[in-house]
Amino acid sequence: MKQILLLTDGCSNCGMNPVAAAAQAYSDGITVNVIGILDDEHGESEGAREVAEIAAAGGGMSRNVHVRRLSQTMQMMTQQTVAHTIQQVVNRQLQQVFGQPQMEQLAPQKKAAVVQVMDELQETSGLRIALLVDSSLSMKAKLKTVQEAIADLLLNLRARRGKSEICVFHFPAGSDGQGAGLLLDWTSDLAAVQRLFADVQSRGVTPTGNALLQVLDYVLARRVQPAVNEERGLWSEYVV
Amino acid sequence: MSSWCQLLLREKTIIRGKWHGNRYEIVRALGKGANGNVYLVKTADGSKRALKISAEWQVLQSEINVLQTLHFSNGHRYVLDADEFELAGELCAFYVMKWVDGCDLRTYVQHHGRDWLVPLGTQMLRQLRELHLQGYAFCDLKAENVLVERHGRLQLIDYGGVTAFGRSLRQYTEQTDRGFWRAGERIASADYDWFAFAMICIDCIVPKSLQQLAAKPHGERSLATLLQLVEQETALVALRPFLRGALRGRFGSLDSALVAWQSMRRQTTVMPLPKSFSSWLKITFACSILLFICTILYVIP
Repeated sequence: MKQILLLTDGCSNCGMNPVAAAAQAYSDGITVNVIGILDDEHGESEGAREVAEIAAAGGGMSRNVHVRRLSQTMQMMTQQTVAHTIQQVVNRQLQQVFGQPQMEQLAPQKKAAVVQVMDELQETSGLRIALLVDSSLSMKAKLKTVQEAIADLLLNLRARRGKSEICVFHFPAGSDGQGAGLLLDWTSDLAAVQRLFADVQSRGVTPTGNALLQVLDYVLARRVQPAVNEERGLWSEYVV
Repeated sequence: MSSWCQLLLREKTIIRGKWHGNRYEIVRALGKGANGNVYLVKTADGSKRALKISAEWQVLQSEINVLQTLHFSNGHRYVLDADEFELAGELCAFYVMKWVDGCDLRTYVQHHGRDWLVPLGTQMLRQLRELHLQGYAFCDLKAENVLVERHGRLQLIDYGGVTAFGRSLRQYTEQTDRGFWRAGERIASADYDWFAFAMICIDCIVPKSLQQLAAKPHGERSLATLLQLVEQETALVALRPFLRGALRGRFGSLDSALVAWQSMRRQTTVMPLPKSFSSWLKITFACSILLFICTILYVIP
């Protein structure tokens, strides 16, 4: 199972449209979840709207939260999206085998058995989460908390039976400052998360779309972006 | 996700199970959790039960699956009924369990005295051991989930976090979570429960010091700072050997934590005299010595 989790505090202002980039990820079978780290959690700001649109296009969840609630939001989101994905896969299988319209309508005993299978998958399936962290100037003061939240998330993932790894990108980065830079390759090592953002230099622009595409390529482990394969099923990338 | 089942149901609302047909009348809400709300209800014959409702039927079913495999030494089942009902066209799942009428451990110890901690702790460790012997850990152990009934009978409630050994935790509470204190993994084990148990004990005796420590930033929380607290607080002196073992995860067999805890019973007094009293004693003693010397000096020449 592979996901991208974007953490940002505002609007993209250069490069590709991030909503289109998220739609691309979705059609490649990678869910994009987004957490907006906003000072005003209930604001109807442009940034909050964009956060919701990126997640909707990326087939994932979105939340706008204050940075102090980042850690619990990341954990909750990961747990729910993983559960949701597994539920969809199992539901599809059930429909194929039994032609059952909805899992909800199963009798209690059957439900218990189905949930047991889902729990097992949730605990044992492989999971890779690519984190993409906005490190533009306005985020600078929050990066320490972001690092702690990542460490806490990794502690949860490590506990699973299935192999669980994260990688961390930040943006803006690159020679022209228009893309993302890799901070941490796939790992489940807690020590690797220490001092994650120590050498990151915060810059002004927010090229969210470009950064998303770059991470997508990395998650799909391809260097050059091939044409979209229409044949590929929605969930084929999920290693369930 | 907003849902009808997450709203608090009113008093006298009737819930009728879709599959088993049992009828429950809501008396009042007992608690609101992340995975659902718990109510005090009356059954058709008027007896009182606790009933947990959730819109996330998979999460609730997953809890039920675990709970139905557990055996309790008194022969009771934990899940008395599990069913569904429809609320405004939406499916709500629920299960029914025994209602425990008591007050939480911290409040009890504060009101009745610290002497209670040892006998209550023994009961708690016994109930944990019962789970451990079946290959499960309680996991979400916190003061609110430990109720003390009349005559000092202790009962763990909310078994929703119970997880098979070796699996990742389903739910936990920061203050008692080993991961929060950067003292170990979030994997279900007897060690994990004993760590949480030790944290509850510390919280019962020196709540303020513990809260101060918990409020520190992530990087400054560690097993070392916790152990330091245990060494510094004189009120914890009698519990020290146990706390050191539990926090470090040093207990080996499933019986060892209980044995270590019970060994404290043999000490004449578990809790030391209050600090102010002992310092007062020291000062008067010093004064009397001084007076004694003065008297001797006065008499001898």
